[in-house]
Amino acid sequence: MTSSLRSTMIATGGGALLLVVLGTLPMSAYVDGRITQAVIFVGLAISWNVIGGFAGQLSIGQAAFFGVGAYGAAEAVGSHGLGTLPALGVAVVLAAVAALIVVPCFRARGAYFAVLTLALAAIAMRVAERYAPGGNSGIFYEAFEIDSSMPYLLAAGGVVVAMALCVFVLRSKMGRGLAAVRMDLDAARSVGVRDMATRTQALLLSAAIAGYFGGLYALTLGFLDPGTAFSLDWSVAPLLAVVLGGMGTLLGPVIGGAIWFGLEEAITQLGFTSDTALILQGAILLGIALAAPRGIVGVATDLWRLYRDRDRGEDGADPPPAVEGRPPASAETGSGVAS
Amino acid sequence: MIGARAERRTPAAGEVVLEVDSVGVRYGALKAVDEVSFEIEAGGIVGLMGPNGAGKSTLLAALAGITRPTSGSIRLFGQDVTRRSVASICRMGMCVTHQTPRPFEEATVRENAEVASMFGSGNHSSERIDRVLAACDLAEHADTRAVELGPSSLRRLELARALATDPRILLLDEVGAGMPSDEVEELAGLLRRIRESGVTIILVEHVMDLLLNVAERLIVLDQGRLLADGEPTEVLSDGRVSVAYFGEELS
Amino acid sequence: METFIQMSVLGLSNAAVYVLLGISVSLIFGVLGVLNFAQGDFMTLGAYVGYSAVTAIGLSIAASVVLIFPALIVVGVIFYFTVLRPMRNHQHEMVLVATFGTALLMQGLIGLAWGGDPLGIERITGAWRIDNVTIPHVALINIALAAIALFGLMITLNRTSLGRSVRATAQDRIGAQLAGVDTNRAELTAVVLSVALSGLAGLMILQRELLTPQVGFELVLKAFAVAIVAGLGRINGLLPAAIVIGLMESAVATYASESLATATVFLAVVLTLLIRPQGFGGSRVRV
Repeated sequence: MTSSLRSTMIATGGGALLLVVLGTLPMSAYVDGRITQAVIFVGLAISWNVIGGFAGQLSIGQAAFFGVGAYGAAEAVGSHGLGTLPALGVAVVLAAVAALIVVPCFRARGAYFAVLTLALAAIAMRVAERYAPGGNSGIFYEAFEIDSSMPYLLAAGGVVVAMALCVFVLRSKMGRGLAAVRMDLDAARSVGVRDMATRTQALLLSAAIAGYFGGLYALTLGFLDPGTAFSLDWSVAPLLAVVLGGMGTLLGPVIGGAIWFGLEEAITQLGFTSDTALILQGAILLGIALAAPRGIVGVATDLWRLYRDRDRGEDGADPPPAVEGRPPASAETGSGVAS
Repeated sequence: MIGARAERRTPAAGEVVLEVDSVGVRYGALKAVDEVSFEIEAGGIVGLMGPNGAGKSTLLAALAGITRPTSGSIRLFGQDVTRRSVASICRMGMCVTHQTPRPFEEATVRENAEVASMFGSGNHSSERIDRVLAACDLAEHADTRAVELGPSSLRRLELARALATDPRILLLDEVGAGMPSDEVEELAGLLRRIRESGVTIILVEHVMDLLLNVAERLIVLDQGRLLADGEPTEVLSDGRVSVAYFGEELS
Repeated sequence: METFIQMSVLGLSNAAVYVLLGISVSLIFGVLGVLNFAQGDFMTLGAYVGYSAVTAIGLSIAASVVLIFPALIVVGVIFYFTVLRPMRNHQHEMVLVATFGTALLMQGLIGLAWGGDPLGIERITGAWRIDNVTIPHVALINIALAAIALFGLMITLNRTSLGRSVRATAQDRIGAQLAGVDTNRAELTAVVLSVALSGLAGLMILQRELLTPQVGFELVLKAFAVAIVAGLGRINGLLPAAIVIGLMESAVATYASESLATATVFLAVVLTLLIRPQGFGGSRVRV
């Protein structure tokens, strides 16, 4: 675990460097804007990974936290004249509060939890239509200037911080507890893991990150309405991106998020309809679920392991990891493998 | 009890650590456990036996906090734990193993033990992990992922994980099931060593070899009710016990 | 009073759709243990096939069933053998992801085939008018259809050997296998029944509103709501659950607003999952 964690941290550091370099390159305002949106999307994917990947709770309701954050920041800037950073702070806090409300729902597991989050996000949208400032028609507020580099910096900075938090969580006691809960909830309980507390912490972190990027997203728009803020897409797309990239891995949301955003951009640019996007989304999800449940990072890790162990032969080689959930026919293997 | 970490002290030998008072577990009309009472003193190995359907595993689950008793009360170290969760009871010092091993499959043997130690023991120490793994003969597999282990290693991992929580009372659910007899011998030795280190053991067991090898006291259940409770020789010569098992008294 | 009756008719008409979709969901959950996120899209497919049957081929709405059922059964069987069956033993989360992916895929394909613009057929517009109350014929037809379908389903599940095998497998898979039930065939039967009912629900939708590729997916959450409130895998509680939810939604829509009505349905799910996750439809698991 340590060595792969170390290499991931190096990769993250490198990625952060890349982000910084990217930011300094001269680019048209349009491309800059799209890249900023891509980074925001990656941030949202990272937030989903905390609850869906680390904690293993499939959520289809991330839009709720994203939207709450969006409205929080929009209102803070629009009605209360707050600056950018305080507005983002409001976004984070509101999203975290929303998460606390959701905590009792943790009694549900698996499919029930998924439906629950879907329902909650849908409720959030309906409630916003009726009770949010501006109601269905939405609100206008001051957004970033066209050629400001603030949005990009805030997005990139947000991603770096979010990744750092993820690294910290994974190495911490909470990370171990989450992994245990994810692998086998009852077994985790039987060795003393406080699963509610652990999962609640994960949800809070997930919501806070989603809220931040929701707020940032709103500030790049200048106009917000419930349909935009709480769109189902904000729940589905990060799930897709992380499943594609590799649930529960550090780089999964980054890789999956970048690829998925790129695909969507390509679809729009090439003039395909949203139906094509749907078909692609569906096909990717199906394909991953059927053939590569561990996503790109998972497949890459397996390939690397096979490559690394190719000289070890019968006795030392790991059997190829089973498809999720089913252990291979157990045979004692003597090799030690740092995972 | 959120936040409060009870200091875990080692009870004196002979001190009562577990009081089971008229505990019952009911599923609708079925009384899986029916008004069972006994007390467990520190430092011994108690065997819990009975024919199929006697309620042994249900009782163990009730003690561990996995199942909630529908009547009666359970006191651990003097505190009422009848409604406590399994995680909470584990942190208090009573840990249970599962009949079918449930390891954290993607984690290594060491990581499995580490989770248990970090969360269940109240004072994590990698030294204890080394000792536990060595005692359970898993040291050489320490960095192997649980999903790659064979059945006997998995059983030992189940035990090691429970030991990593630094328990004062260990609840073992059919830990000897399906074991070849040479392993049963080794297991018996391990259990005795565990007992010597101050841990009280309650084991539900069908494998009579193991039970008679280690148990200093036998509690017999039949159809949910307490049938006999005492020294092995006494209990086994009790006619009612053989009736329960075989339907007739043996000469 | 008039408003009340009006609202009740509307609610019951919605309930007709919900009960069929709810049973579809419960059948698959009961037998395969999977919450099928694509269920709504089977309904959408049924609606669109019905649309083509009526507009392109000129069949009457009733006759379009002749096309709808086979089309859906084919798709359903493909779905079973390519997705549900291979993933039977996979990790639960991944199966959910797979059905979700199927939903998106079907929406995209339907959109590609029929276009994303709202489509509709000439609807039955007649209605009975009693005082100030308008009872659309469509509503009554849907309610009647649902009743017939339910009746047919009950007979199938209780009187035919295939139906009984489905019930046995839903209750206790291993026990059923030991008793000699062909559980694979039972699964297939459940899937076929499930998509057929969804197709019928699609027909109902076709009769009363405009179609878009998302129409089913938007309803699937309500179908889940009904199924969860009744207790997933249980058929018996579904009719009361559908009626209650249909009426409740209609009441909120009439006396408050449409958005809140939808929110109320979802709230019912949330509350059920929190208070009594096993549903309100009775204590024993039965199909």
